[in-house]
Amino acid sequence: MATYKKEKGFAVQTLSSDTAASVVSTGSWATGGAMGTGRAYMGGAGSQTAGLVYGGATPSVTANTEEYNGTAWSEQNNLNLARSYQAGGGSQTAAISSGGYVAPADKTETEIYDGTSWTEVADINTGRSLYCGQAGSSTANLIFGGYDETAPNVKAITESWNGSAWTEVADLNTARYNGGGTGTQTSGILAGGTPGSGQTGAVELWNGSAWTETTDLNTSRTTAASGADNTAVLVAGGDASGAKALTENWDGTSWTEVADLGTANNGGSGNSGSTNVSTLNFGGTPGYRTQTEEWTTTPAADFTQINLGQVYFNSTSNAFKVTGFAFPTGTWASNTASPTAQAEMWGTGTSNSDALVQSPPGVSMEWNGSAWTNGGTTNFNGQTRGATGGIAAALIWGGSPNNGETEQYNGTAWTEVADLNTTGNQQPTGPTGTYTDTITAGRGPGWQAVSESWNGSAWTETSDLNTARRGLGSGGGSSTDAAVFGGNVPPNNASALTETWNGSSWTETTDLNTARFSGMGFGSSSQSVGYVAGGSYPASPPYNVKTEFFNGSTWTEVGDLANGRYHNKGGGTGASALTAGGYLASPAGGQTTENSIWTVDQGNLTITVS
Amino acid sequence: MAYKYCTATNWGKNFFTHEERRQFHLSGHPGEVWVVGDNLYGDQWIGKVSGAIKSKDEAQAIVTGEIEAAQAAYDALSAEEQALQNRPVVYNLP
Repeated sequence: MATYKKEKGFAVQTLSSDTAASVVSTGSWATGGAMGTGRAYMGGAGSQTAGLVYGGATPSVTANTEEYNGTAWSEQNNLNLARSYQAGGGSQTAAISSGGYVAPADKTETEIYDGTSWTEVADINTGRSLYCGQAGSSTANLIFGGYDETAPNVKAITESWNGSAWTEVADLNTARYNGGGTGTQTSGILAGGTPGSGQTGAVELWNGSAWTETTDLNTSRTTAASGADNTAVLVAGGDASGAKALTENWDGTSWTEVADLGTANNGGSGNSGSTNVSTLNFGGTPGYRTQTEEWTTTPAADFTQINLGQVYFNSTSNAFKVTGFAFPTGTWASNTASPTAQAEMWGTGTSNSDALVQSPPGVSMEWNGSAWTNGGTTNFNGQTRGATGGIAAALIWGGSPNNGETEQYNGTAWTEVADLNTTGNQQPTGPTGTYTDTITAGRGPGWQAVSESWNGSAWTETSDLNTARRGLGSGGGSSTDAAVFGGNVPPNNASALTETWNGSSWTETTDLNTARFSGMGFGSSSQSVGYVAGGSYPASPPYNVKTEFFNGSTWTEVGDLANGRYHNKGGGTGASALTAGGYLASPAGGQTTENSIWTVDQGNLTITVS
Repeated sequence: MAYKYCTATNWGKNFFTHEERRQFHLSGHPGEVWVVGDNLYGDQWIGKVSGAIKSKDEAQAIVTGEIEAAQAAYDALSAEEQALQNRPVVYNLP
């Protein structure tokens, strides 16, 4: 019976902007107007459309003050005391400047700006420069940390301003300078900074009376911060062995990386915005810049939460879109080291939180997304076995030196089941079938074209590969949907060949960009999403860092592994996988405990109608 | 990811926009060097800013020269000011 949807179709939602994980994740940096005076280590206050910059190093100290109207900076009355290395706070019409540095000494002077001119008020108690921040307004302010030329140089001191005098209150837990501080006098935050040498990622929250340590930044660095209080904060740029463009958002619980600055920026660039959805970042080094960048997000009223599978029309870009996994954007991240350095083992997985690899002598190691633990011990301890499944149910077969043993795993113990029809080693890596339905093709010793499918109880020979080889990568892996890529071909060369399996025969298709063997294949649907990562060149080292993505017709290079390797094992889907172990180039031939996880974010993909 | 390299002077507002940041990779480096994602939108942006195309080696030489100059400026600072800043670090363009 026809349904209404089949007869009439269905309405597609129209949105003015793309869906996203959060309002802040829609943000990006764009250029704003250039300052009249290039500088770094200055004070900043105000908002994106009503900003203020004052003092700083040009590299000599300056008293220059400029106001920003959302488009351009204009000169205003100067500070009474030219200074650098101070922080800033307040608004464009009620800002505060205190402390700082004028060679050869740190300063205690405080000045208040009323929108027209600066007036000197009561000094801070401890002269210092490069506070970690200046949170609040010109009548209720907080300064914390800093650097002083007298020992101990690095300060934990916090001072509170009530509009007429500074009072010392509770110290920071970690003394430091040049961190990102923002918020209010009763809800402040300090992120990163320099504790004396190097940089820290430590973060502390101020509740009006005490500092409490909380979750660290993802990247330790000096930085600049912006936020209305300590529950929604943006930090941008900074220094960690060089200038950084990194931007991170704090949602009150955790830090998330969002879009980078256009230009990496250190040297205490001002960040005067009052919120994490609309702010400025200006000046900085190297070069004592005039440049300004503006951070803007989709307005909260226009924000729509990303939803996998959603189809919508973007009326701004005039495009139909669907939310899916943007496979070419995937990246590898380092993961908790494996308990044992290993290579040429077997390995499998269904995601980056569900993987199973061999750990000599025959123990299966389980990765559950948070820790490695011992699984069951296999009955046969061969290397380079084929494997599929995850920690709850898996199948392994074949292996060195030349065996046909097959074993099933029930999450606790391994049980021997029917052998392969043709024994062999260097089985394909990474097939993501199940322990009741998979296929294996190509193998050693030598170079074989043999292919067999598994139905849960027995192996059945199928049509051979077109090209005999061993040490292939594999994606897909059911008895009706699989692909194999690369491999070792005579006399001992890397192959770029790709073949797909449709349930009855293997068909040659587009070659890999980089020939390789003994890399790791993964991917959930071989006809449209397949990957191979790592592998060996004919002459090795260096081993392969490259990952390639197969969309059913072509291969595209995507995110590299951090270190080249081969005989790495694991598996997963196109959106979530793990690779463990392998041989590294340095030390040459050394086995590694390194493993990495592959993650692909959801994205909004344009639907192209041909 | 493939990149193009160019030099272009940042004139301020709308030199690069939010929309452009979403369309292609763009990162600025010392010496007015820009690393631009090699796609249609990146090409359009290079045209918009009248970017002078450079080879990767040429772009790297500019960046390295600028950072070495900044290192020399840092080395000339007093010990007190050196304690407040971080010495610029030479790095490789992507």
